[in-house]
Amino acid sequence: MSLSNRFPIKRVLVGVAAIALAVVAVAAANDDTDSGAPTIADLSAAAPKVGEPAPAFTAVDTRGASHSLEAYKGQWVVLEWVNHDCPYTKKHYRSVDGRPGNTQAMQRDYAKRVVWLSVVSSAPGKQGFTTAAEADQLTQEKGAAPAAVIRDTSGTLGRLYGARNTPQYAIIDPEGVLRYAGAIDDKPSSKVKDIAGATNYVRAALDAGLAGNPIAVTQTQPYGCDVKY
Amino acid sequence: MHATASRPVEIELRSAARVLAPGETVAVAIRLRPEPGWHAYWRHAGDVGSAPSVEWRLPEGFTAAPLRWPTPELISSPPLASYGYEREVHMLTTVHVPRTARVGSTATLAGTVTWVVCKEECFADEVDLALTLPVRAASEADTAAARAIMEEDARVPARGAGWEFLSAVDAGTIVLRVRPPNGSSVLAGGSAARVQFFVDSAGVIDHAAPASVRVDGDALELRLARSQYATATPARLTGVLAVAARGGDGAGLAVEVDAPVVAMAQFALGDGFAGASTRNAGLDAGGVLALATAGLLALIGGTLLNLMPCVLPVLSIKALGVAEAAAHDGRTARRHALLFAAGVLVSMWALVGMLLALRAAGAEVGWGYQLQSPVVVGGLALLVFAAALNMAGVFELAPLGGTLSVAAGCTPPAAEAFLSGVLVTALATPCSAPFLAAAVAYGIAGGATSAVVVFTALGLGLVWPLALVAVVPRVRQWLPRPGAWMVTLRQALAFPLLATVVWLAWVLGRQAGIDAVTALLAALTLLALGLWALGRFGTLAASAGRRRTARGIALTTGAGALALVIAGARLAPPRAAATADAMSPPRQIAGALPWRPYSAAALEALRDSGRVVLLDFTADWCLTCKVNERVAFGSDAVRASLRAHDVALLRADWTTRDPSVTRALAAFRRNSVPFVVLYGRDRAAAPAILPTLLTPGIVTRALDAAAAGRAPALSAAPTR
Repeated sequence: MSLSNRFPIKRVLVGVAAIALAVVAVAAANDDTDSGAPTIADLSAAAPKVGEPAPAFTAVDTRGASHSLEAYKGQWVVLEWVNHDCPYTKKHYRSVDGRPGNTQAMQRDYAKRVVWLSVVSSAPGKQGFTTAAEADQLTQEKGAAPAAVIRDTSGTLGRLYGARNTPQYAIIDPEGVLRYAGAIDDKPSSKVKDIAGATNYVRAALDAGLAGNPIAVTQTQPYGCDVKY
Repeated sequence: MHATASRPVEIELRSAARVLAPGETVAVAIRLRPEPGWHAYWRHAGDVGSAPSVEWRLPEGFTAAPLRWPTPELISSPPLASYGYEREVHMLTTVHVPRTARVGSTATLAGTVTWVVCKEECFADEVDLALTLPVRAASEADTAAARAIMEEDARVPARGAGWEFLSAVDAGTIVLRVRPPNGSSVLAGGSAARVQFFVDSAGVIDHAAPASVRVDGDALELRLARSQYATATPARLTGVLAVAARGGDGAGLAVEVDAPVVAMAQFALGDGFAGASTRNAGLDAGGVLALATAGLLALIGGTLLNLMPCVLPVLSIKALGVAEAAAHDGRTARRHALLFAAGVLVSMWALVGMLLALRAAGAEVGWGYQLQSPVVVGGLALLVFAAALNMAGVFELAPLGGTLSVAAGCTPPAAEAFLSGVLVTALATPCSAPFLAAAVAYGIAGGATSAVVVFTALGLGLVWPLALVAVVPRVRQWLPRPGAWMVTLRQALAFPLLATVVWLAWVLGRQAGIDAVTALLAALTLLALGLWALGRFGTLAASAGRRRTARGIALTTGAGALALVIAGARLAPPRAAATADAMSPPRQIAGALPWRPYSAAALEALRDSGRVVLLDFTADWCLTCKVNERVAFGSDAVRASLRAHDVALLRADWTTRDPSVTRALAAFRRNSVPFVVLYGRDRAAAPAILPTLLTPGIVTRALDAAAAGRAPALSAAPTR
């Protein structure tokens, strides 16, 4: 056995370098940047995102007046998709014991503080489609009080906001940011009776938003009929 | 009750018995027959429509069970889809007739059914239905109704005895893994027939997107697109899985699905069923395969453990051991390696045994748990200090080893090799290496067999590099030639060990306070005295009497030191409860990051506030954690990024046992640290799980992704 008195500095350095390389390699192996799976963003590309600027639009109401989102900067805007023959729209417009329906009550309660636009996206010939005069007559008969009823016969506005159901809501804040998108409440049924025990997401969002508080539920799956594009 | 122009559905109440009897049950159905082109809905309607419902009005004492629904059809109207029936359908219930029902009377089963049917448009109404039946001593069947109800009953999904389900959220999809019971023909021929999953709640999956189905051994894997309305990761994925019969003949089958949603890391590991699945079928073929995967991961993890920061001082002992062994003949080297391996494995088994026993006793403990005890930390400090003095040349192990070998029945070097194995294990456990967390989690969750397999693999991973050096001469030749330099190296390596003692003392101080550390320092001094006496008077050159005295002093001081450490640990003041108020400003130390102590409530509150939240599971005894905190969180780039994205920092400290932290880790199917989770602003998105070893780059990229609301760009699975 020949003994060397020299400390094998080179070999030790090589060893240390090898260990360092291995550690870096392990760290790099963990730093997996490609998951390959589709992202949520891809799947909901159609619908605008809550918390982001709401898509700009200009639409015409039953009286021929133009409404553009830009013009409502500084005000809260509610978009409500309706189809007067859809049982779920009916559920939320039906008057019980002479009191105004669920939706009419909301329209009145927030009339001074929000711009309430009811949107009819039914295509000509499809359920829910009306002439401008018929629409105004329906509004009057139901005692509804929207700022305007938008005639979206081409479905442009509906598709722009990813409207799938009637009823469905989009709530936009004074800065033009989408703050709520989805169902009117948490009881997906056609029963008028269910309204009493339901949590009304639209009221909750408007109450919180108008008071300057954060909105608790910002996105829900709407329920009802499909929009008759 | 026939359909009119304004009612495109026939609705009727039917009973399987035309005469009721007291104390019996009767199958009752609400029959809906939509007009051609119309359809009624299932218990979850999907994108359009809603489920029918019934409000019963039954005679006194009668009860009706919740409705049971036959498997629905997918009704597609792109981009929407709903679940329902275009055929005649019976919604089923069981009505219980009370014993008190009077024979000779009649009973009227009545109810209001609210229904919706849709074609191009929807139609909804409610209808009052009633069925009046006589009550007699013996019931009589209504043959036609009974047959229709029975046929429908056969279409109600089975409860799924023997089926196993597991799911996980993977970015924009939910993966559902289904393993049919043994002998099921569902996967016969190696490919699945047409498969449809009907989710039973809104905002979970995209109803219209077809699932991608893959057969994986004896399991079926469905990838379901997440709903654009998904707001949070559900705790469970529930619904019905329908498998159409091959070739379109026969009835096919359907089964109720109730799958726990686990972290992707757990899901990705083997088939992941054991421990997390709704039903644990024990170790069958698939389980063995998963166990083999976990074992392999543990082996790799154990190997990498050699390179982890907390094992580096230990590595130095091992390097020395190998160098010494290589200086002798091959036989001694092999023997040395074998004993070292035995030391590692025996202590691994002891650890896993204690761990299982503690868990069986209900304690919430995990990997590294032993360092949560101040006594263990103090004892370890004594052991490492003794090893350091030995390497520095204060005393030789031979005479002391001789003492030990009386009990162990082997020669001194053997005892030394074995003990260094024990020491390595003791020091390696607070460390978490890549691949290790998933394997250890699996091992502990899977019960005794898998725990022993995983820990054995871990031990083997820890020792094989050394064994290779000892057994294969070619590898040994690569090592530097033995020589006088070894004495220098050995003495120099005492210092990393002393640094380890400093670290352990610090951990003890964090756990038990300044008094315990003082007791430890006194104990170290006492031990040093004993070992010095051993080295000075206990050498082989000394007379037998002197050697005996020296040994006696060493053993007495050693015992005294241990007693001091135990007494010191008892002085431990209770650790101040972390204040859980998330909104109170975090304690600000100049230059330090504003960490808040973790609590479930704090996490919820911070997530509610819409901020990005970084949750760091750490422990003072976890050196890898400390390295991460210094290198990654301490870097300027990360600090700037944390400030820029207004990231809230939560720290879950596992230095001493804390069931709330153990539970939080368990929620991710983990039981080891370090573990770092990053929650994005979007409550719906799954949190990103950061790798075990962090670099500033990894952290800043993850922060950017979380702040931008992008799907985590980092792998959720540490196995990749």
